[in-house]
Amino acid sequence: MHKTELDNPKKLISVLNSIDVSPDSGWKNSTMNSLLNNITNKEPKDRKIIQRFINLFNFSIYSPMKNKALFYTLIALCLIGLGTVGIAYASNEAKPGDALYFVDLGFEKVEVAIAGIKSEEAQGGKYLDLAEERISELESLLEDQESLALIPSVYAAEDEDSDSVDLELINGLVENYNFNLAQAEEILEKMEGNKNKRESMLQLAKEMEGSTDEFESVLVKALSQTQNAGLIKALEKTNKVGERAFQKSLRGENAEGIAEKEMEKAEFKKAMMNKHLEKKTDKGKKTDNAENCVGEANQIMIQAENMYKEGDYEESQNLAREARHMYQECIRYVYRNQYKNSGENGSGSVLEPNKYQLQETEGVEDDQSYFTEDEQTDSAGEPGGVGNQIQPQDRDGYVGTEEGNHEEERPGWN
Amino acid sequence: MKIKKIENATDFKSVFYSFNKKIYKYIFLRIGYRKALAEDMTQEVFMKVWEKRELYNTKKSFKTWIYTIARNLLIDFYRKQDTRKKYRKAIDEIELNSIGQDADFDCEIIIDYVLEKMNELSEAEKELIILRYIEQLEIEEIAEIINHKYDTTKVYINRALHKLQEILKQDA
Repeated sequence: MHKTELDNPKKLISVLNSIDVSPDSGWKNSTMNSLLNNITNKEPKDRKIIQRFINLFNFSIYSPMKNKALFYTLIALCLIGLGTVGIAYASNEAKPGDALYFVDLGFEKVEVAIAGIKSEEAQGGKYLDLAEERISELESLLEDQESLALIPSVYAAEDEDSDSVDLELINGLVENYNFNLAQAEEILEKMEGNKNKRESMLQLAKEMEGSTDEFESVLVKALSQTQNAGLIKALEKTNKVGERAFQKSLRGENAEGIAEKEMEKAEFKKAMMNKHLEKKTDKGKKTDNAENCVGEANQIMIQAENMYKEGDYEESQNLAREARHMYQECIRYVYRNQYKNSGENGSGSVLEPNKYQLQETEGVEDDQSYFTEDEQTDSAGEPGGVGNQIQPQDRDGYVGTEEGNHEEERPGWN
Repeated sequence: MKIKKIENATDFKSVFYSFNKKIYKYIFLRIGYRKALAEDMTQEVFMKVWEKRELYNTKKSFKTWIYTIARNLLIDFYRKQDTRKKYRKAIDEIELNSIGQDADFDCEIIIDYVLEKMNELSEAEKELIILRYIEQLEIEEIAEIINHKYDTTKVYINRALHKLQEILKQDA
């Protein structure tokens, strides 16, 4: 197009319409996290609990409840509940943090039940919220040793073999997280079978897809601090749930829309990869293999963008998907190296590292491992790749602890 | 997207994911294409959305409400600048070559050229062009945001577009 063509108002409008500016996907996610931190920190914990209790009944001047019988029943329950809260609070004055958490946990179960009365999607959303809470608790547990005091001991999974309270807490939180995530996905799958709930299903799938991205980011970060088998399993699970939710969220999109979303998702993985790579580089860890991997993924991503610009949306989708999976693989390279490094020098975790490294156990299926068999040969063709290859004895080591191998997904305290 | 009410973090997240791109674009184009500043201000808009969530009237459009918050933040921003001149100077120093990255080369040049010329419009005219043709809001929505009647807004928008055309013609 030439400048003179802008005399035509239609051409000018079409140029204006085509102006597109987007924030980086990395910014999007870090801003969301920072906003969430701000909004949750602004409310004191006890006020938050009361607010949540009020929210249970959707008590709003704009939308008064239609079902009066239900309303009065809930008010009665509310009064009983408030009495219980008072007793629980008063009887635990010595440890207010723990008492509040205890009440908080009780409310969670009530919230799920009430959300179930509202709708399936509300209940699915509630399970996602709870999974998010566990992830936030996990994050603060690993970031700040002092916050340990605020994590309720009820999360600690029963693990007689373990001599570490921290490890028990991590396992308990992770188990509860897995449980909530699985419940949310189960609801999503139920909704998928119901044609009348298509819109709600899409909304929940989008929410789940966005949430699992965040969860994944926290879990990867957690893994950089402690190589815990439960965390690895949780990350695997989150990946799978996120992928399935992502595919569901694309229903109804045309080829262009799918390509666009695939690229956005790949960009997110790229940003996540770069973030972790930067951290490792800062700490002087070897990241050659991961960097090579990122280089290859970037090339594929460029091709995906070119195909998109050319209008070949299907090819663009395939390439973006390939790039996304490759970025995921690159993340594994970073932490695989770290595991090897920490094994050599006995350090690498903020929480007594040796206790959190994976135990060598036998008889566990490979597909449960975060580092799969395929990765053994990934680096075969790369210069200097041999040094980073996983030896057979290493691979067998990348499996769960005894506790981490249970397929059954139940919270430790449920 | 239909927003009923922001009651919790989940509602807030869904609002953020639905509107962050639109609000970022609006701010970025209005503050002279400064990425870091646009990011900070976009974050501030969403913080205000959370703080003022109780004030949102669910009978009205959420979209116009959030744009109004962004617009008020921009007005504050301009006010805090010592003089309008200073602001203009800052704009003039910005290079535009990063905006049309996603478009093909010819289109990229045209987009940068149009954006550069848009700086010759008054701030009010520029705002109308951004809201109507770049953000692609309905005239009715713009009227609500700028607090004018529908017909008046329509006339203003046409005038602004006509003026932009004149500026481009003179240059060509």
